[in-house]
Amino acid sequence: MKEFRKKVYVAAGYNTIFFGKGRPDFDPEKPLREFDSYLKETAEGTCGQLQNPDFDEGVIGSFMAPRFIKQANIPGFLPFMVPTLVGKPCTGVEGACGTGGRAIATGVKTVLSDLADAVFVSAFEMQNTLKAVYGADILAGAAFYKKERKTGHAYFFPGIFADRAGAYYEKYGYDDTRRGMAKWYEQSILNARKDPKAQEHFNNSPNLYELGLTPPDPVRFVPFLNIYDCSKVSDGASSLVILSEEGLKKCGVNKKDTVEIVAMGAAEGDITQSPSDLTFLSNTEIAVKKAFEQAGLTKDQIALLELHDCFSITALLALEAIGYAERGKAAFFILDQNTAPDGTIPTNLSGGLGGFGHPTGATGVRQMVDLLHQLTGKASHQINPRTPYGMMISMGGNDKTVTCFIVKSTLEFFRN
Amino acid sequence: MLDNLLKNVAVLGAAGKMGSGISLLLLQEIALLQAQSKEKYRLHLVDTNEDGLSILEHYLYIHLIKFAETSISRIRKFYSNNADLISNEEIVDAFVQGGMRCLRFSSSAKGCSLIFEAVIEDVELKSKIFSSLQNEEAYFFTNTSSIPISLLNKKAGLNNRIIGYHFFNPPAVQKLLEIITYDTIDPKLVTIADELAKRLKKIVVHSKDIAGFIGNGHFIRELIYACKKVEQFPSKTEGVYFINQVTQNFLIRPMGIFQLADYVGLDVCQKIMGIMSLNAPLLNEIISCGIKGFFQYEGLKPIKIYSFEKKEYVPFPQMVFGDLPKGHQSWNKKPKKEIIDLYLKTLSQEKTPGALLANEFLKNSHEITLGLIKDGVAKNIEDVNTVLMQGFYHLYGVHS
Repeated sequence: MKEFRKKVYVAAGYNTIFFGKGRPDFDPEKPLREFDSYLKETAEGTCGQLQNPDFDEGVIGSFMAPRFIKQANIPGFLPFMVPTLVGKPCTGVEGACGTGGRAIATGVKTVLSDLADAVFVSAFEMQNTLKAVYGADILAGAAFYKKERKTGHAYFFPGIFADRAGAYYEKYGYDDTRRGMAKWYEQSILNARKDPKAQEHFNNSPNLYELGLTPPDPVRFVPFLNIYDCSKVSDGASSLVILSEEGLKKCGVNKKDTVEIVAMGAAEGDITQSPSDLTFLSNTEIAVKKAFEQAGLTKDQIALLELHDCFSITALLALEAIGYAERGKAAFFILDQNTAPDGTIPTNLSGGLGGFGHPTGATGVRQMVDLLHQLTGKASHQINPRTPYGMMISMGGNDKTVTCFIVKSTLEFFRN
Repeated sequence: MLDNLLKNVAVLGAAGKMGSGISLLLLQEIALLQAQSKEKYRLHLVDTNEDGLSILEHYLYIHLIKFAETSISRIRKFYSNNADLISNEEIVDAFVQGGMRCLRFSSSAKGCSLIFEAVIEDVELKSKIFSSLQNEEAYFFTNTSSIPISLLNKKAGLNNRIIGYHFFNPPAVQKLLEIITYDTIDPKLVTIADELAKRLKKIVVHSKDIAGFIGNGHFIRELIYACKKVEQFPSKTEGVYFINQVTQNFLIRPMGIFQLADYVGLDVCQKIMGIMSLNAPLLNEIISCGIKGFFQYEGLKPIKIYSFEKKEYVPFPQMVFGDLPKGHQSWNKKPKKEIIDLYLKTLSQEKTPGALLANEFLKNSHEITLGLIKDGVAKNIEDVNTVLMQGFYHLYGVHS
């Protein structure tokens, strides 16, 4: 795939708090904050960073709003969020937990097609409207429900990835893998502690690594995974703006406050088919390869990574799919602190899905916002990226709907 | 054998505080069996309070849903061959509907195989009810907290087919179960009782068949001690208040001894004392005044205390307890064993008014425990401690 026909930028991102169990004010017995207030907050947060938030189109993503909040026709909320979108084309996007990536991709394609210079992209999910036991049924819609739900585990997706973990243990061994997963959990929470909006920001457990080592309890939960291996049930919303060069001028955005999207790799798997190899994310590999090819980059040129750690095993598999670790060796890669903030590939710096939270539809946009902030010096937990490049992988379902973006900072200091 | 016996079960006094909890525990087990079987299971709920039975039905429905939700991983397997039931929501609904269909609101437990009794603590009433149901097929489980089972066995002519099965309040939450047996009990019944207790995931302590058993054996004697200690104070009101505060705060308990008596019910405490052939004049006095509690409450929080002198509820008296010893943590914080051990050691050396009384209570508790063991009510200190910690939420037991 060749480079884009014109430059596409990301600017002005905003994440709400990702809310749910773990936040001190979360009380399932009390009324929850309404979804529209999350939408308004993220829109105001993004638009407030622009001199002129006048967009040509809007995109909004949500995975299962019709089930969780009994609300469809969600494009109708874009003019509510951003009044300048009244009378403009607005599009809803869904791709399970990969919704956010597809929403950004939709915005990028609209700009590339010259139909728009400035696109407002947002995504959200409200999952605490239901008990987890019933939420599991809804989230099972990310798989081939009519074939897989009946025989699936009560908590479905933990069961899906428990199968992957079990296959991985069998092939590569349990002990080191479990240690790598525990270290992943520890890193997620340590990172979340640095971001006040993270769902696990207030998690002050002293023994994170030991918790991560907790043996799985197949009677109470699922085989092969413990609760610390699993991402959170969350409510939250994120948004950002996709712009052409003309869009930058129109919205009054300084280029130094943007990142350029230099590559977009997407791959879709057949949802009706089970993975041919449970120990590998083949579609993720395809999407990532496409992105590297388009950008003309290798993995070693990436300074910052946002990957889709819906479960800790998924993080290991993603690192192997990208090529950061040989197959079966990702645990060691993590244990050697390569993914730590001062490691060779700082990853999920606000905590990822396990630490920051995972309102399913919103996550992909949240990942891009985090990359944007880190690569423009605006992160609350800023690191000093060693190259201008960041990469994110947004994944829906069991490695089915995958979008990989590579972005490049435009800040002067990276040249030095 | 237990599965078969659980096909036809009754709870007497089902609408009461304890009866409803016992009903829920049994319904959960029966619903699990019903979900796996085409045979019909029945749970007969018997109570003279018809309004109470309506409330009970709703209570069971709500809590059976919660049980199904938390047991969903297990329950899904029961419906694996039913292609129409796919989502957790559908399966919870099927399970709960199946369980609720097992209920029968009956006026009698005649013909039932297992009969659980949770009526008021009255020997004559229990004996009358049991003797009307006596047959060679049924096994009887009584929730009495103090009446000797052998007495009920003899009075009702149950031919050794009755066992003491004392749940703690609330039965559906409290893990502790006192099982009381006697020399001539049918051994099959003991086996059934033990197996059922395992199924209900209870922590079992076996008690000898002596009035009060272990739980009340300790609590009632401690209450009597407290009532006696009140006499050492210038006023009864001050005595009750001081002792209650000390037994809660200095002994790090969820509530003071007099507040606990209120929670159990003063009339219930008096009844149990009678069964145990014990007596507390202070308790008799407050009950004879028509008063329901040593304290007046806002929700669960005591806000005023009964004044024996003024014969009304009054604000708490100002009293000097002395500082709580170093290392004290409130019961709510659930301090760890090491912290408690260190605290008790410090307490033992303190000479403040509160500390001195607290140490007297600790010594008394130890003596009560030794007495329970000497009389054979409890096998050992560990059993008494299990009752105190699991049944009364003490954070520590008696030291050997």
